[in-house]
Amino acid sequence: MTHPTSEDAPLIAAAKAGDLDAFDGLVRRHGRACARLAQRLTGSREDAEDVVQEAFAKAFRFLERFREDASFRTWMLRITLHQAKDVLRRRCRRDQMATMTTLKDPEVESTHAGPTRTAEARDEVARLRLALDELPARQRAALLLKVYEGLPYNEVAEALGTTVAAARVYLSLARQSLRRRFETDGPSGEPRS
Amino acid sequence: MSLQGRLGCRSMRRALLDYADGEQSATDRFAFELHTEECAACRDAVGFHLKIEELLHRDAGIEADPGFEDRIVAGIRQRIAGQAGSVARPGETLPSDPNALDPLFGDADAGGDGTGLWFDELERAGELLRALRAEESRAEQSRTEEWRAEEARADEPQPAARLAFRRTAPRRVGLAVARWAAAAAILAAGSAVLYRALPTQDAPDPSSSVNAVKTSVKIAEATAPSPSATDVPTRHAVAAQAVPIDTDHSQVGTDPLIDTKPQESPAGAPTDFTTAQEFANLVPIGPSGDTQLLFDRLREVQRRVRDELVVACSAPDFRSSFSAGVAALESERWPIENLVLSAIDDVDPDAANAAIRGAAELKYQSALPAIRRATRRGPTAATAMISLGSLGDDSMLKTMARNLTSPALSRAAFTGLARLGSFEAACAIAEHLTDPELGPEAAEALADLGLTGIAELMRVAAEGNAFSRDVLRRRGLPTAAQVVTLLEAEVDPQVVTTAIRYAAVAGARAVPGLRARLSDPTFGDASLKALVSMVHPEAVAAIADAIERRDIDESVGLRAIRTSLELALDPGPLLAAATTEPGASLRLLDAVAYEVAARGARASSFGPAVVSAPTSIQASTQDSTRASTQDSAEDALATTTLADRVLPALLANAQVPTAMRAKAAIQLAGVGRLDAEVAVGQCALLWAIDPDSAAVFLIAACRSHISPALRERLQFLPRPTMKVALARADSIAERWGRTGPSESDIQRISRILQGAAPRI
Repeated sequence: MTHPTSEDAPLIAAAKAGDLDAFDGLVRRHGRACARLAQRLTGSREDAEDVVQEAFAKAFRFLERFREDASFRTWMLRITLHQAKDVLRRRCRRDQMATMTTLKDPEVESTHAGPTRTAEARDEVARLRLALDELPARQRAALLLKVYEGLPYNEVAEALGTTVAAARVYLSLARQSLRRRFETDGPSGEPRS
Repeated sequence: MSLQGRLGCRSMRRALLDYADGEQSATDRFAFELHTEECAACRDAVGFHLKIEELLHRDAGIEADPGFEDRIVAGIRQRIAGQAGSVARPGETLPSDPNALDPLFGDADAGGDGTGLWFDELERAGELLRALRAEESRAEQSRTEEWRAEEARADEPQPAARLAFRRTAPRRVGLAVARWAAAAAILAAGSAVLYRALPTQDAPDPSSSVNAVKTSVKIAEATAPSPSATDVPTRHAVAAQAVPIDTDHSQVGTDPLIDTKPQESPAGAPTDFTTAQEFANLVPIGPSGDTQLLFDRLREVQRRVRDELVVACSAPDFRSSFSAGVAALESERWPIENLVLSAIDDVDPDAANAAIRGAAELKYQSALPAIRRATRRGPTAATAMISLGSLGDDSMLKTMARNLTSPALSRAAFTGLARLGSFEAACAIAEHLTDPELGPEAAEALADLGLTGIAELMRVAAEGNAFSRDVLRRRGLPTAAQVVTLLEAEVDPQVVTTAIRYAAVAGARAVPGLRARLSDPTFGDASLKALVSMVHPEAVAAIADAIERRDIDESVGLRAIRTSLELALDPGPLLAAATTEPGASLRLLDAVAYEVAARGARASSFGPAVVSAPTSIQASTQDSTRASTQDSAEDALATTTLADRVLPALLANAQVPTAMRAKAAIQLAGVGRLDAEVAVGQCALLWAIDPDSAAVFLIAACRSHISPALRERLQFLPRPTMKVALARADSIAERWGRTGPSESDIQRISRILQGAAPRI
């Protein structure tokens, strides 16, 4: 869980005073979570690193605006979300093949479903990733934040910029979609009769 | 929701999410698990759900490599260091001189890039605005507290403190207003680029404007509380962005993962200003020197924005550039439609007109209600009517028709109706075709309206309307393709008839359409006339085909053959079709034969026609059941150079009625193909059977000066009658020697002889 921690508070205070070393500490504490989210959204390790760097750079710039009563991690995840958005937009401009709903397997360079990917799809985890690809963006984002980052409902909602009720709905719909997908295909990937 | 107690399955399913996320209380969790122990279906559902959760968690292990943190930290430091040397906050870099904004209004591409640099940290503009709002709020709170404190101290006069407050408060507030307005001016400048991004002659390449459009929209998105209040290519940002920002809007930018829904602006909220006082009301600080200065500057920006908008909308390549920009933005999921729709009701007529035009260009049907409203507003009525036409909305057709006579809106109404393109619109316009003042414009509008309008013009032009004729001639209408379309379309009969008249425009391309219309009683005559007048082999073939298929009326077929003969076309296909078809009517065959006979001399020059046609006619003479045809066929043969080929067959055929043979003999004798005495002998045989016919033949013989012997045969007639007949015959024969007999002559003589025929 990422509720405000006593470890963050002094670091934030010092960073606000211009202490870059303190800010480094915040990066090391929350950078991986942001990177996970960015990588899930952009599908690229390089893009994810760029997103995280830019997100933290912005955070440092606007650190004074950060409300002390909020979770720093949630705040960073929110900035990361928006930064990932920018990356996807730029990519969309650069390459029409990339879309907002594309979640590429980071291990697979190509987006095309080659033999490797086809074989991998037999694996349940790979099937899960494919199912995640098909989720609407907001549902996918909610699920990533909830399951992978372990944010409580209110922080998922805050990161998405929506209400708790709406965040719950997104999560519920996401899970229902995944369940339908797996029920249709069967637990081992075979279509159910 | 508490789950204490026994849960129903439905409630349990609702609680599944909380259970999976560990967000239930211990009591609820116990109740939940208790239920699943007892209910197999729910247990299965929970099991499946937990399986998914387990998979999700198993997949959560995407970790960065060991050097991740170091790289990230180094990169962040580098970026932070770069920020220190970057441009200052927008609010602090606003040039004091409005002319410094000029680069923004220059070349669209350069302007876009320049603004992109200036607003390198666009989100800071939004942050600045929000911060200003918060600062103002805090300042207001502080002021209030100070005033309260001062009131509390009212009984204890402290003139020095009060004086100090009064000195510092306006300065603080003034500073806030200045910064606020500065940020708004930046937004305005960004929107100016947005407008500038619309094409002008300086920016012929539509794609060069896209970046500028994106930049400007990004400004608006980053700072606006809702999409409805953001700026679009057709809306002034100055007014919209000068409205206080929603303090609850804490997002940094707009989340693409969350669909942006349009939100209504607060009812009654001021959204524009035209005077310093209105501006002051918006900010909401009383007028001061600073406010006036800022107001002037904003007005300058606003004026430039308007100018840019007007220039952009009047650019010749407005459409393609606008569409390209919008397409690029839509691909990134900007709520373009909502933005354009909201701008239609903009108080600025230029902005509203541009939005209306843009909505029509983008075919936003959802814009129809707003555009209909705009028809009731003077400054936007003309653009709205035109756009309604472009959108195909005929609900305002009556209004547009009414405005055709309005001096101010006539042109727009004509254009709108023309773009509407419907039959009703064409009718509304056509009512003014005879108007001396509106006629030319009506004709032009009909020409623009499309095929329906052009058909109407053709019809009216055929009735002698000068305006219509002039427009059709000047614009080279109708085109061949239009004629062909009209010929083949199921349209008003009058239109078809008119199109048939114009068939020659399309040449051979019109033949299929005309051919299809040949069998139609309504259009048969006109189609035939058009086909014949084409003097084209395909047209003749079409007629022949129709005759052969008996798709046309006999009289139509006959006229076709006759006309083709008159036009010296090859009648071969027509004749063959008319004479060889087993089912062909006798009347038609008669007519064909007669025509050939009447034009014997010319027919002989037809070449291939005379080879095939007499053969067919010859075959007809051998058919004793078709006496009438034989009669005509013999006439034909008698006058053709191929009569020799027919003669033996005719005379040898005992089945040929005597009258036919007598007639043929006389006619053959008349052209020197038969000895006169043989012909007279044939007549003598006929006389015994049918004296009336014999008399006719004899007269014909006289007419042809076949033989004096024939004249003697007339002695058998009663004397008085004979004398009269002879006298007339001689007289007539003399004249015929010069000009040939007329139909009335033949009939008159026939009547005379019929009355004088002797009874044998």
